[in-house]
Amino acid sequence: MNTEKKLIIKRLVIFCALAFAPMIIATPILCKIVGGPLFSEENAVSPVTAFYAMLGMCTPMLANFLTRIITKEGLDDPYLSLSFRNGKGKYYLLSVLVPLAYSLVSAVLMVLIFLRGYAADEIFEPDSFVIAPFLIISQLTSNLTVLIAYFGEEYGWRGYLGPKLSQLMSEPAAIVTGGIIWGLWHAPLTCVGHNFGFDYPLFPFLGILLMCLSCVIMNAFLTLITKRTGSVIPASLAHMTHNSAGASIMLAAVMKEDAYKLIDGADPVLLSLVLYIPLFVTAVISMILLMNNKKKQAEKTV
Amino acid sequence: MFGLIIKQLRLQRIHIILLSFGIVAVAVLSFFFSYFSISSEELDPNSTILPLFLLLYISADAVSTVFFTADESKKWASFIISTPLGARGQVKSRYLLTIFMLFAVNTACFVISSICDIISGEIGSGIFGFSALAFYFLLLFKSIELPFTVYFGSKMGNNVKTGILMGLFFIIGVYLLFGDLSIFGSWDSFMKWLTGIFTGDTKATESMIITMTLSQLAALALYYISYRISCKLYAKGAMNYEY
Repeated sequence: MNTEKKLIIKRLVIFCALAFAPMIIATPILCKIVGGPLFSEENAVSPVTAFYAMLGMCTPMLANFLTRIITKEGLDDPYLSLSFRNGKGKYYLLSVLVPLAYSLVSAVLMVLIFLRGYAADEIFEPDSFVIAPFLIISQLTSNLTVLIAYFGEEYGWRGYLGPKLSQLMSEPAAIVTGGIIWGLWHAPLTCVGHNFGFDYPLFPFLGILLMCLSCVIMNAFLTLITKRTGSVIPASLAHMTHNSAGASIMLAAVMKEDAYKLIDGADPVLLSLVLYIPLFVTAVISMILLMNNKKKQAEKTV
Repeated sequence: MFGLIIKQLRLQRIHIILLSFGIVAVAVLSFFFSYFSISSEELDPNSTILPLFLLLYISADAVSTVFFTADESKKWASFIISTPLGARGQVKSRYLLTIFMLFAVNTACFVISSICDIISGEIGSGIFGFSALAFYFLLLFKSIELPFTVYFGSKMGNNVKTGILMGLFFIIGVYLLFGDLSIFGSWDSFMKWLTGIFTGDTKATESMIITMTLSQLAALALYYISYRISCKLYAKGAMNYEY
């Protein structure tokens, strides 16, 4: 292995250690403070959890900065540009529209699969479809004001980890590896009920596996928009949209309480797999576009 | 453009440090009020913390104005237009710094409100919703003010700002004279009503939700349009600068 690859691996190890350590140390301490798992039903809306989520999301960004300082890397190509020229503007738009689209498809699938046999007036609140888009947009605009949290994650994963992995391996392998590392970073949170709760077989290992799967799938689209714009800001917007306007939030805006409880109470593993179907299609399209682009660039240099 | 941002941050570091001290001071006061609200039922921390957040936003507005006025010189304008960055780079760096300042203050408000909630034991007090609203209001405000500052200079920009504020006070005055004042029973009841919109305790009408959402989207769109207008006006505006 040549010296350059050894240096990249050393930087990656330091980055991962700095990103993982705060989550592994802080999660059990905070669980002790709140007197139970952070994402249990009573603690999920606790201000401690919200505060921890905000700070925790900034650890990859801090790991990026600290790794660059420790390894004297400097700030070449920091993926911080903000330009809409040369066709980049459409990727900023897609960074919001694509997550909204696949969340909407997921929501429709959830209703069709988990509430088949129910009539529309049993499922949906009357006239809710008029106000629901405004509620979703309001959710997005409110979360936009704390974009720093999503930027904190993206600056670490897409701004540092992804490019470094691309230098060591092929693009698909880099996306899969990056997604698995991202998913494993969530493991301390999955162990305290994040995303999947506690009521599923093989807790928490199956949850960690599903988290890695979703991170790999999301990584494809996020890497595509990062590479096409040379910036992590579209990826931050996409991540924000994915978290703020997900399928469950869309359904909560239009469904009756009893109908929503039926979906909320469904098997979390099955629910997640249904959610991942449109996301998987997005990932496949993103991967094809990435590989096509790489092929075109290779042809140009020849 | 990155260089222009770094330059401005270095030149205005005193203002940024002062704003940071302001954030720390607001944080300490907020934690103080939240702590004492535990033992005193009469003390509603929201009533005191919300005006403190408003002060922070006013300070952020003042600092972001300095980013524009600091380079108000014909010589600098001529120099920067001659560089590859041009007027667009100069204006873009200022607009980005302004919105970063608002993001920073809003994030600080989120952190402070979360810690206040932890101290007081309240879940989702609604303070942060107010902060997000103030963010968009200030963005809208800056969208109108900045093209005037770029073209006519900081004096005209300040006059426009004053004019808008006078207009707002006039509208508020008219509402206080002729509108429904039942929510203004006391300062505390008004704060409870306001924060209740974000916690769901106050029933927000559909028209309120639609108006708030459209205003927020309009603020974002107007900020970008304001940037494009300022890019076109910068070169001509530089001729209006005093020196």
